[in-house]
Amino acid sequence: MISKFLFQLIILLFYISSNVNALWPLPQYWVKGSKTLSISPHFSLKQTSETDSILNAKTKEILESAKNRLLNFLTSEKYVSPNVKSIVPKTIDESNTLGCLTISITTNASELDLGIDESYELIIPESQNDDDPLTASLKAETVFGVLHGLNTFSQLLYYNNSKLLLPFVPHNIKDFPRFSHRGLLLDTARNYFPVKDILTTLDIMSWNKFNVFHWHIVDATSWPVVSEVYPDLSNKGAYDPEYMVYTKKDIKKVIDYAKLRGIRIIPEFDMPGHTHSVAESMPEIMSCINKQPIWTNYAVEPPSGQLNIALPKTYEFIHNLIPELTSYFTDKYYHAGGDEVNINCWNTTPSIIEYLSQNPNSSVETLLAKFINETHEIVRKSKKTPITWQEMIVNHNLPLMKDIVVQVWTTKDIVKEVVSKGYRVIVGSSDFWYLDCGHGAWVGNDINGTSWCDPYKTWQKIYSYNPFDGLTDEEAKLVIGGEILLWTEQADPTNLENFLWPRSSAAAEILWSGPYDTSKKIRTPDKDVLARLTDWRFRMVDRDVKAIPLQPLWCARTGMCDMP
Amino acid sequence: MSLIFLKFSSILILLIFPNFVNSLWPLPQNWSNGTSLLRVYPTFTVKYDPKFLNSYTDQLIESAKNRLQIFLKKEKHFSPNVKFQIPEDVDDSILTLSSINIEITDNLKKDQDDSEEEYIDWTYNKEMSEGIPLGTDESYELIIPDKKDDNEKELIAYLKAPTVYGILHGLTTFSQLLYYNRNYEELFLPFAPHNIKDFPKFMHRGLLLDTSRNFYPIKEILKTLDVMSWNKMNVFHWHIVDSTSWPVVSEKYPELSEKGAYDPKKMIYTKRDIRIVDEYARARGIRVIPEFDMPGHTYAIAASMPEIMTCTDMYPDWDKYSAEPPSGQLNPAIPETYTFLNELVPEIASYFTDKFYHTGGDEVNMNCWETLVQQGDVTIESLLDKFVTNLYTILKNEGKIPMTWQEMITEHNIELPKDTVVQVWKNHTMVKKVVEKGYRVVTGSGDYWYLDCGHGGWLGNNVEGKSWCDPYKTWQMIYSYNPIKELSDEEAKFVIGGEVLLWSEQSDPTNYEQQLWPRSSAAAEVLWSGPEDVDGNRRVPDNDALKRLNDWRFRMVERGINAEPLQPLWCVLTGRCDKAVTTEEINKNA
Repeated sequence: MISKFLFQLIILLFYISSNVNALWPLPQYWVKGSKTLSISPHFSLKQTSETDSILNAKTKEILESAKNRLLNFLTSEKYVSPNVKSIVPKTIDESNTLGCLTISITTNASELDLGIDESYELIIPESQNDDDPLTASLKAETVFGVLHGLNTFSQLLYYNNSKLLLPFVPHNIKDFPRFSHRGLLLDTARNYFPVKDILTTLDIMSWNKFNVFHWHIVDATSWPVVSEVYPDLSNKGAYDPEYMVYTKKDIKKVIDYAKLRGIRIIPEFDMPGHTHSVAESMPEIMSCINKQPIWTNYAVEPPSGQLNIALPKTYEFIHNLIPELTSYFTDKYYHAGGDEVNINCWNTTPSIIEYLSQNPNSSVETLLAKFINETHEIVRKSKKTPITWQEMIVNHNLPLMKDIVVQVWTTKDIVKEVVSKGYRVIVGSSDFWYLDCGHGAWVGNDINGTSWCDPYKTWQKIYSYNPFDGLTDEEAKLVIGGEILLWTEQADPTNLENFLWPRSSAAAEILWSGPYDTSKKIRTPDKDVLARLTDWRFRMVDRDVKAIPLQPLWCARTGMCDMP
Repeated sequence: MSLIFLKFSSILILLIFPNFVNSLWPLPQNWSNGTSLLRVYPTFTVKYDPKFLNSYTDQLIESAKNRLQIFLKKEKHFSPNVKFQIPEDVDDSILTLSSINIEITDNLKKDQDDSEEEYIDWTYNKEMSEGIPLGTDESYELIIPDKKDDNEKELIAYLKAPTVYGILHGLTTFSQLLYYNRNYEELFLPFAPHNIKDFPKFMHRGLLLDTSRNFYPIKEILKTLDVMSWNKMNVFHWHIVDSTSWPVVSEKYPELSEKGAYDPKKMIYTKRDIRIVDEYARARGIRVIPEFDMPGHTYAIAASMPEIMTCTDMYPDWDKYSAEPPSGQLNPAIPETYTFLNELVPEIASYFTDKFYHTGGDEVNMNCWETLVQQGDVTIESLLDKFVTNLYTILKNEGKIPMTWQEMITEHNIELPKDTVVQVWKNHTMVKKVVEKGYRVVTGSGDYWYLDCGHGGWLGNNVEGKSWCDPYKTWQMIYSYNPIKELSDEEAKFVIGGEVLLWSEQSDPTNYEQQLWPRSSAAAEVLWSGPEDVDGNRRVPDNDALKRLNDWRFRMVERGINAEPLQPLWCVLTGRCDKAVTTEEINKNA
């Protein structure tokens, strides 16, 4: 009898499960009501005449492309939520139909950069006094704020009985990002990703309000970028010189596509470590090439190989190559790499031993400082700001200029160390935001091998990361944002989306909405967050993204699978 | 400088000359090959004498032939690591393999006492409605010559097997010998002549898919059956219902799925769906064994029949009543539950043609039943015994042989019929315990063959949660499992095989292929080829196994399967990404 009673109670709970809709990332300010609108079959998107007069050709192109994408969703999206039960009226009152969304933009800024205004304001009323069709409004400072507003709008829609509904009106949303650098790193060197996979990733990123694609484009394993100055880099260093390369044209396509979605492309050409692929065409400027079978003495993973930082030829190479590479990209930042250099590699290189014996005042560390400074100078001459991995500051203590940005990747406590030295920081360390962790060892002949950054980072772990942890308010200002990272030893197009989504969405919310809510409380991966993320995951799946399930569908629907 | 150059050029040489073997997976028991290169056109034909086939075997052969022909037309696999050289003047120097000749040898053994048209092969007069028996002969012999006699017009391959199922495996092997060449835009068959004599080490080579925690449309299951057959797996263990949902449509109890399925229209398996799966599987030599897990893991029944349930969905302290939410077990103390079993089990058992039926029996929570025994003098264990005895009697009457999870034997000490097959899942040491009690075993435990491990906690509100069976099981871990470890020869005979398992808390159609493949292939090789080679050497996940598996993974990707990558492509191409040898190891070997 007791169980019967309980069961009925559960059935009841089942039907009154959370009636919230599921914006992701959560807006900074959001008030909503309880009525439901349907979207008019004649729904239109238009900008105010003032906006039209402000827009230039570039901003107009960005706006039109975003409008088309939204209209596309309106016709193709058939999203039914597993856990958001809208209160659907039996008959939809025709006066409750949303006919129009009016867009207004106040500046014609058309260039993406760190710190641009991405805020927007979205108002969806429940009724209107006159006979005009019901109109929603979206206001933003820049066209990039409009992009975010339209994405938010698309997440408010739910499909029901061949109609698109917009429940919980009126909506009043005022939104802006907490961090200006919200990135996703993809490594396209360990395994290759065709351009189309990158474009798809950019689409999904934009829905999650990410704004930086950190393209870790080359590494020790392959060099897919086609250089005109050094064509043999990809002819010999790409996995396939014809099919597995990125040409200048490909890169432009990616940049243009990203820009229309409000995303900056920051390339990383990792040097002087992680460069074995250069050896395929230019072994003469390399050290410790593919040492086997004790590669551990020369690199963190095979194949070993670093640029030889003592040879004039190496400097000739970077002076010729880097200006060309920087010219392929439009962003004002350029990631120069700098992680995991292996000192033993250079200490055992005959030409370096010889150099050091002839120059008793130098050491491998002074050579490294010279190399990094020279690289950064080339980058600055190309009117770009260098980004470096943490080691150059933390392990090698190089006196680098304060204009650079330092990316922290090992553990979160390094953030404090870097900001206390006065550098701006991008966070996203392996103890929280490495998507590749927990997938076992990928080196052969290793039965009990686990990944170095075990365990797997669940969405909850990712969500629990606070980029400001342990920082003073003053120090916190130096944290410009963060990145979620996918290294691809065990990823390629077959499982890319599984690795990225929806876990990257968890990081996206921390970076957009911030680690604290409006009442200054730290965000935690609680029931409400899970209900929203589950909803968003299913919407992404509906949009053909292979975002992995977080739980059995029963849990997604009932929300009753929390820790006891 | 010169030293660096020298080293580098030696690396280049290694890059250009990786090992010249092709990559059958699972590895045949006996295989010799040569160095000749043959070409194979899409017009390649499969020939057999129809008089040795009946309508059923004829249908199986036809469908296998069609599948091979689709590969011949479509497959564009060029291996990342299997290299062979094609001479410049390809037309003159290379022989063409034009057809394969198939012979089912057992069909030739005529029963002396019967008329000429009748044969003793069991496949012969069987109806479509019957399953493939456990222990069916699956051996085959495949011969691909590289020379033809002067009197022969064409080069012909031969495939012989006692049963049609051996033929299916042989054709699968044949398809793995083919490589596409991009320059010629043609298929080649390198390393001929091939002489392969092959048979499985274990007769039960299974894959478990849980279609209850998350739902899989029929088309996904059919696709999985295809990939299984390429890996020579022969049992699809369909964990079809569980606490979370009951997708099976019963005609006797329609409300089970009407209320217990995730969607009573779109997320169900009808009798017809099940027949399609069963038939599709048998056409690929795969048996479908359903599991209706009882008496635990049954919360889904509560949606329509709460009156026969206990401890239904206790919340939030579900952990006192079950291993995971939602809690709920059949009530073994009331007659209504037995009426339910008597009505339901014969019906759902009849949906499947296989002789075996998995009764479940795992993770029964005794605390859940605590309240049932307070009044009387019965014990909880005797209630469980009663339930199991009733269930097994029903199955016996239906002509089915029960399978059960290990707990009935290892934890509850219930006396089960000795023909019961016990499935071990907790850890590999349990195998010995079960065979010592005289039961046949299917193995595949949480410490080696659980594909869901290492994906983090899936319960909400749990930042540091890990999966209970951490870490992730790599292909190497899976491959290193020996199903007959520490068993005497006599005991080993009780191990009829194993299963690799995918529980679906964190899987659904978006990611299950990546979780299944190629890791299940590692288990498939252990089960088919065995944990030891013909010379008695233990198989290990070494460089050679990795090369073959990488090749096979890329072929599966080429066939449209999202099998995940095991390594950076550089490693696949060079085979130079093994765990670093330590200085001590080098000194030791010197």
